[in-house]
Amino acid sequence: MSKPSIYVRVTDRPIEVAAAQEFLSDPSHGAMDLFIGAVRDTHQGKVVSAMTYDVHAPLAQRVLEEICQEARMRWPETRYYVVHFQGDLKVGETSILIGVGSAHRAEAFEACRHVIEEVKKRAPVWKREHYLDGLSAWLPGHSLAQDQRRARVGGVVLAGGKSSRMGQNKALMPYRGKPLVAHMSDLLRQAGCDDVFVGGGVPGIDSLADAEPFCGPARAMTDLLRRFAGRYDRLAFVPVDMPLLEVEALRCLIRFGVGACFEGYPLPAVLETGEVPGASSVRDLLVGAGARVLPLSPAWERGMVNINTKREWEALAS
Amino acid sequence: MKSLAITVRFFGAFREYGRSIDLSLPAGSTVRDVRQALGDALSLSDPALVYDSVFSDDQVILDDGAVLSDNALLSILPPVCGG
Repeated sequence: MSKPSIYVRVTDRPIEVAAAQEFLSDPSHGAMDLFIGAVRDTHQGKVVSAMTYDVHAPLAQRVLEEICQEARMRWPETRYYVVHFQGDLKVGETSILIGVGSAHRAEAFEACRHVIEEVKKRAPVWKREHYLDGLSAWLPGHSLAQDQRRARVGGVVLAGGKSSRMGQNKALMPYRGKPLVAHMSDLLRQAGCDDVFVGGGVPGIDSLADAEPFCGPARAMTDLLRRFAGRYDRLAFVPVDMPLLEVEALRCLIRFGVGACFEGYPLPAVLETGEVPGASSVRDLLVGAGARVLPLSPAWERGMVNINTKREWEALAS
Repeated sequence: MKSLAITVRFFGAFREYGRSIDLSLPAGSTVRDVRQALGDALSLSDPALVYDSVFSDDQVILDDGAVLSDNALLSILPPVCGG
């Protein structure tokens, strides 16, 4: 069995470098980069004696894991050991340890730097500095509210196809007690979209009719990217017929920060709104829009399946 | 009209106001309403802090428009500075 690639903890015990080295030890890796953050003795001209680290531990655990998973998408085959301290520390003591193992040194350095920068911006951790004169102060930080306000992402379920191989409208086929289109809309919401729309006229469902029906998803996507410019920063597109799609995969694309898709799969995709070059296929559209191509985690591969025929649908239902 | 009991746990600079606060809000209230109620309930030395903060449960950061359920346990997260 292969070793896990990510270890993340919030701890109130002293952080040990040896544990990171042991976890990251890997015969296929020729590089290990360790970042150690420690309490400094001065800050803005004041003499610091100690620091209190306040942490929302369950959320921090999730955020740290997310950061490592995202880094692993960007630098495949890398491994991560991240431990953040919670509680009181004296000057010189370790507050965070980030270890990255990789085949070569470049990825280890880059990924390690990426993780600490993301931790500083995203992890729910707060520092209270204690000064030699007996006073103390909570340090200012990065507002997660501003992050939320900055990026607005609209979700679109692409449901404008003819469903000719299925012989009936796929969008309306029942899946887990609701129409498939509603299930796909739920996935977009769970992944963090601010609003969700259905693209393509679906009878009985509140949907955005394509400007020119049955011209293919690339045309519909191009029109919506133009139409929603100014209202959303990015649009997340999913096909209506991918019910097993993992929410985490979708969240990864949405959180990536710029347009992105997975290697080998034109959809789902997240694209920045605005004018994009006309394209005859979704693949061409992704290239024209400058979408980043991310490696797909093996855990998410099972969900990347389109259901096109009755036989595939029955296999899914069984 | 039925009301919701909401508990908001404090972190970082909000620790100055205790560990948590219990609020009572009308049914159908959203995270945005909690933000307003919290700002009213606390005499913040920096009133903007509540607007620079987000609310979460133990899993995710909540959208301002999210509708709350009764007995919801939220956390308010002021600007972060880990590492």
